[in-house]
Amino acid sequence: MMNHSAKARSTTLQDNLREPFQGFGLGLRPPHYNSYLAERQAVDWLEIISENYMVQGGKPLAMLDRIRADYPIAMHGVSMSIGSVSPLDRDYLQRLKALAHRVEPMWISDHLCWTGVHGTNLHDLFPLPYTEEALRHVAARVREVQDILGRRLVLENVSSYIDYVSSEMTEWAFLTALAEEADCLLLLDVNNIYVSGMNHGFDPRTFIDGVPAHRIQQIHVAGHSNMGDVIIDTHDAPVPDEVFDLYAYACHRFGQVSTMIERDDAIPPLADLIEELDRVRAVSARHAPVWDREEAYA
Amino acid sequence: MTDRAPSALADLQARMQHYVLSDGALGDVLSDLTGGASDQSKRRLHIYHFGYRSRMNEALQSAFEQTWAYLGDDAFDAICTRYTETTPSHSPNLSDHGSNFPRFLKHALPADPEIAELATMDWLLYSAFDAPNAAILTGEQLATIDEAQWASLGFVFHPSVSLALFKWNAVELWHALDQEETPPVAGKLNDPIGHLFWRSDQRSYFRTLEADEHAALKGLLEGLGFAQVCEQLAESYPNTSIDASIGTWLARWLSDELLSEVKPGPV
Repeated sequence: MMNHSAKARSTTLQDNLREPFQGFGLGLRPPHYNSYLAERQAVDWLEIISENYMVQGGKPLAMLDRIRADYPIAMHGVSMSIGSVSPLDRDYLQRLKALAHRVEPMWISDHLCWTGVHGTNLHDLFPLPYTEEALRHVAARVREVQDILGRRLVLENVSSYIDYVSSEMTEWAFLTALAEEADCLLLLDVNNIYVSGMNHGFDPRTFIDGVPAHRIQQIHVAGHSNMGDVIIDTHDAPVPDEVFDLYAYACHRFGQVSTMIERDDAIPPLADLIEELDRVRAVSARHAPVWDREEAYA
Repeated sequence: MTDRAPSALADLQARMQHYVLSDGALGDVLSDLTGGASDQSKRRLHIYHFGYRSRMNEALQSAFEQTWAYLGDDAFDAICTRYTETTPSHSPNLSDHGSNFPRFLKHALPADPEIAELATMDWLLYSAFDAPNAAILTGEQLATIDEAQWASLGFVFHPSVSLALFKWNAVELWHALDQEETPPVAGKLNDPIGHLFWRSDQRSYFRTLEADEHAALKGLLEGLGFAQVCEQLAESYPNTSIDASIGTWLARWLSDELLSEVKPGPV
């Protein structure tokens, strides 16, 4: 007969789908290439924008190969358009897979959004209506992508400025149902949760409470621009206190999750971002319970 | 089968995309939003409308730095917006968006042809940067070629190599703008001048070509055999010692890493 702790262990190991905690990372941006090549930086891993390296040669790939030798990499895409009604772009997915073969990333992520239809790419992350119809559509596509890539996809919640009258459930209920239905993982962008919460009038903590902890593979933190009646997700400023507060709440709920600062504009010297990353580490150390893998989510 | 589009989602995405690509006419899209036709809904939608144009323009700013500097912020933004209206992106990679911009400028600004040439320079340098990698032919490899083979062989060039023929002083403009100096007045050249663009050691380069070297490179890039190109040059430039020139050029092409491999001629 199975004793209680052995039973708990077998259950939790099965439930805990995310990769082990990898520490704290930054987005790899060209202005910082030389700093990474010059000396080992206090960054545990790096995240690349996949499309920037889905090229056939030149400096981007040369830099990536050299930096990859010293740092684990997560691949983060912006053009999969998993929520679009247009057919999946199989050429894109094959090129993404080829890049993954080269990089051997820790995981591959993109966004729960659509970026265009009828062959056009608007290069923006448009929110989906949270309907049963959209859920079935996206879940089938996620499964197809996972079959092609041969691994679980990690999907990120986007910032949004509009919501649709046709939505039948909350964004976090949709994400949860999608993750279960498609058996995928989640990248929680805590800044995006804050931005959308303020824009749509929900408590961001409710979002964090509503998603499945055992599928949270990664967390993003970032800065935004508060325009008064709307907050825009600009990634051009340091992570503000309110996002750190929400990150602390997420740490408390999820335990240690691999976390990175996403900075895409007005990119400061690497040393500044590493200093900011120290604050992320400190918040996680203070608020995230350190669980054994076996104990988590029991 | 996931390729059959769900209809309500398809309709919503079509309406949103139509709004973003349009001149801002709201059409039916407001009926999709919880805020309906409120001012707040319109302002929120406008974030996507504005964001699309500003993102596409920023992509063109990074690819066409000197064209941007030459036109100034307002004129460059205006022409970029016109371009994006007629040429939406179909690529997963935003940096591909400028591929038709020089051709667009040629037709859109017929009174200022130097602008399209400046944009061509910007684009050829920009696209050489991440052009495919390929083998680099060395002098040692070339030295092993049997003399008899020279009669029929050609060359495969590195994928970053391209040529452009300019009728205007685009290069002079480019240099001045690159140095952040006031550019000279645009002017037509007496004769068009060929330019070579390529990547070496992860950097993009260009240089001005003499007419005979331009003709040689053009012939070889178009797939002509080496001997055939030499014959044509001897006919076109009877007062030049092509034999001496071609040796000098070949040595330079090798050291600049323009050549990828020897292409055997027909047997």
